[in-house]
Amino acid sequence: MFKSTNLDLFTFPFTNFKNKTYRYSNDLVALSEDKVNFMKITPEYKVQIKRKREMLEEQPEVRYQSFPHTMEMQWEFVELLIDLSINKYPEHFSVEKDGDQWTFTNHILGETETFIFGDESSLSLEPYDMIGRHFHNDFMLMVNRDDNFYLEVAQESFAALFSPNWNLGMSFNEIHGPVPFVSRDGVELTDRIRKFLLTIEPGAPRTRVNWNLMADRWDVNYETMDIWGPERDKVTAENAGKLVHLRVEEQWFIRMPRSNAILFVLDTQFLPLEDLVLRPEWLETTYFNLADIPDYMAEYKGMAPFLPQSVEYLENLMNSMKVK
Amino acid sequence: MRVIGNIEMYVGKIEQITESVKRFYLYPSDQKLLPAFTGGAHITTYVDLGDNILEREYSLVSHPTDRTHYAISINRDPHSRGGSAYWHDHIKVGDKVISSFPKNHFTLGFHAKHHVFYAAGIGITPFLTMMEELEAQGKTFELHYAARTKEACAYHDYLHEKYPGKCTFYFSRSDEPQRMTPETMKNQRIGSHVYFCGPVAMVSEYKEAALSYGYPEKSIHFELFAAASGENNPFLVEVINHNKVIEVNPEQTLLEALLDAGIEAPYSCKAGGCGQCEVDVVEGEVDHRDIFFSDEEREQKKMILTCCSRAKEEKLVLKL
Amino acid sequence: MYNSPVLYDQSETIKEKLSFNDKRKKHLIIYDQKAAGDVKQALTAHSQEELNYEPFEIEDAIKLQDLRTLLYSQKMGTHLYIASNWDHAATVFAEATEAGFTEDEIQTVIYGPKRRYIYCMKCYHTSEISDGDEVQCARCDAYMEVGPFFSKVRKGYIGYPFIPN
Repeated sequence: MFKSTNLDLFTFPFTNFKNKTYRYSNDLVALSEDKVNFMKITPEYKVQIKRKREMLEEQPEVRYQSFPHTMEMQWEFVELLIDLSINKYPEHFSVEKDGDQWTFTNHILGETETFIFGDESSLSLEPYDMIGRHFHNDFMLMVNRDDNFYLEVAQESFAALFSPNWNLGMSFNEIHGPVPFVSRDGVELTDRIRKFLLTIEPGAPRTRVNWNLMADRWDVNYETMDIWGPERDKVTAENAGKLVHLRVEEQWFIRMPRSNAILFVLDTQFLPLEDLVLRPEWLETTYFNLADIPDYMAEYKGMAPFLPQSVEYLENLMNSMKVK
Repeated sequence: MRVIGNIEMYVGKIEQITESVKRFYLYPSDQKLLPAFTGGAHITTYVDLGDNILEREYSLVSHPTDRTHYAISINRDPHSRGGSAYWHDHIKVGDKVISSFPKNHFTLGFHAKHHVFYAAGIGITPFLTMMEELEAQGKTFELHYAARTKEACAYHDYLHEKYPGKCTFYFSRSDEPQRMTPETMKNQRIGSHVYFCGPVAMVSEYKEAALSYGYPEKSIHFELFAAASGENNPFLVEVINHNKVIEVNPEQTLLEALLDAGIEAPYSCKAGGCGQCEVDVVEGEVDHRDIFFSDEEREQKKMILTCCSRAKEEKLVLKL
Repeated sequence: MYNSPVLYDQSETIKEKLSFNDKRKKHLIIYDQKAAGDVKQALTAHSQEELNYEPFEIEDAIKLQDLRTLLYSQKMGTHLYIASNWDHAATVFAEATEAGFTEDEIQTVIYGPKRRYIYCMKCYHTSEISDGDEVQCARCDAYMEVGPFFSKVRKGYIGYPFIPN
C-alpha cells in the first residue's frame, strides 16, 4: 500500500468545476509540448512497480489481455514508451539501437531488456506487456475501427470498475453502454465522448483528470466485487481519514498513427483524506465538492455507501483546524 | 518517436507523373524517422507564402511503413483554390514545407469481406495505400478508375502491373470511349464495402446509387476533393456558452468566423466530409452543404458542420 | 472477427414479427417449421408488390453446407430474415455474419424462449442462465448478479460476484 508523498507531484483533481461543484464533462484538454510526456518518476516508483509486477505475475488473465493480431501495434507502443522515458529521464533510462537489435536499460531497477525490434519471439513476454512493466501507469489501447474504438490490448493494475479480461474487444459504447453518464447540464455523454475521441489526431494528444474515492482499496475491479462491495460499509466518520483515499487518474489520450488507435494512459495516484490537512485549500475544495455530489453520481462511482461518512469526516477536520 | 506538433520537411525530389500530376517527395529536416500510417491517410501541408500560409490536405502515396519520407501526388487543377497551381508552379527541390502528422478519415472497413474502390482522376491517391495494405493482408479488392486518357491516368502502368486482374480502367476520351458507372456495384457479394474518391458530383452520384441498390450506409465510404458550393449568405451566429454573437460574412465559412472570434472550434478536412467540425445547434435552420450527414440524421439531430454549412435564415444559435 | 455481431436476447436485430425492409432489393428468408405459417402469411400480404424474395426452409436439422452455399452466394442489397427457434436462429446468425451480413442487414424473429448466458467474473466461464437477477456459476458455484453489460467476445452478460447473506 502506498500514497503520494510528494504533493507537488500529486494531481489535485478539483480544478474543473463551476460554482464549487463537480460534474462529468468531456473536457479533454489539448496538451502543450512540455506536458505531453507522461513519464513521471515519483518517490513511490519502486513500490508501485513491485506491486504492478506482482499482480501481473499472480493474475496474468486478470491484468493483461491482448489479441494476437495486435503485434505491430504493440511494437509501436514499445517504441513510444522507450523514447518518452529516455527523453524525460536520461539518467534513469537508456536505449541502444543497433539496427533492429535494441537494448533498453532501466537504471533505477538495474535491469536490461534485449530484443529484436519487431520480432516477438525475441521476448518471453508480449512486447506491450514487457515494456509496460517498467512504468507504473495503466495502458489501454483502443483501436479505431469503423466509427468506434475497441479495446484490443490492456495492461492494468488499478481498476475502477474495469477489467481487461471482461472489457477486451468491447467498443467504447459497450464498455460504458447501459449506465447513465451525464454532464453538468444533463447531456448523455458516452456517445459525445466517442465522437470527441474520433477528433483526437496523431500529433495532438489530449489530457483529462478523473477522480474517485476508495474505501481501503487500491483496486476495485469486477473480479473482487464480492470483497470490496461489503467493505465499503465499514467506513465511519472516525476512520474515514485513514481508510478513504482520494483516487486521482491523470489520463492521456495519444493517437498512434500506425495502429490508428488511441493509447489511453492512466497515472493513478492516492491520497488519504487525512493528508488533506497538508494543503488546507485542497481540504476545503474537496469538502465542498464531495458535499455536493448528486446521488446518481455517487452510485455510478461506487462511493455511495461511504460518501456521507467521508463528508462528515472532512467537515470535522475543517472545524478542528479552525479551532486551532 | 514523435508525439506532438507538426513536422518540418523539405522537398527532396519532384517527379512528373502525367502531364498534370506531379509527385512530391518530402523528407524530415531533422532526419529522424517519420510516423508510419495506415492506408487512406493524408497530411495537411503548410507552405509559407510570406503574407499568408497555404494550407492543403493531400493523401499520402508513399508506403505506409516507409518512415524515411512521405510522398504526395498533386494534380494541377485549373479550377483549384490556388493550392495545386502554387505547388506545381513554385515549389522546387529544397523548399521547406510543414507537414502535420498523418491523419486518417478514410479507413478501410474492418468487417468488409471484399473492398471495391471507385476513383475519378486524382481521386486515385488514397486508394494506392489502401490497396497496399489489403494486398499485404491477403484481402480481396478491386479498383474501378476513370481518367480522360491512358496518358492522363496517374499510376496506370504501376497499378496494371502490380494488381493484375483487379483494376478496370475507363478512358472517356479514347478511340473507344468508356464510361465508369455505378452499375458494377450491383453484383458485389454480400459483405462488400465500396469507396469513392473524386469530385463532389461523382461522389454524390455513387453514394445515391449504392443506397438505391440496397447498400447499408455503413458499407459506403467516401472522400471529397472540396466542399460543395452555393450562394454564401451573410448571417449572425450566437454561441451561447461563450456569450458571443459573431457576424459571418459571405467571404468566410462559419468555421473561419468562429476561429477568428477566438473560439476553439474543432475541424479537420474543411470539405464537409469528415464530420470533425460537428457542433450542436440550439436554434435556427441549417442549410446543410456537407455530404457527411444522412437525411435521417439531418432530421433527427440538431447539428451543423461548420466548415461548409450555413444558416438558412439570418441567425443560428450554437453551443460549443 | 472478434467484434462480429452475436445473437443474444437484446440483439437489435430481434423483432416481434416479420416486416420487410424496403431499402433492400432482395429478401432472403430462412425459417423453420414453427415459423412456416407466419412466413407464408407475410408473403401473401405482399403478393401484390412483386417482392423479390428467396425462401429457405430448415427441415429438422440445419445442413451447414447448404446454408453456407446459400449465404455466400448472396449479393449486396439483400436483407436476411431469420424466423425460427433460438438454436436455429443462433446458427444461421453466426453463419450469416461470417458470410458478410451486418446487423443492419439481418432481422430475427424468435419462436419460443430466448437463451441467456453469463460470464462469471470469478472463474471466467460462460454458462447458460434461466430468468432471474441472481444466479450461481455452473462451474465454480460463485453467486452472481446479472449485470447490464454484454460482451461479444465472452458471449454473455457480466456476472458480478457477491457473497450471499
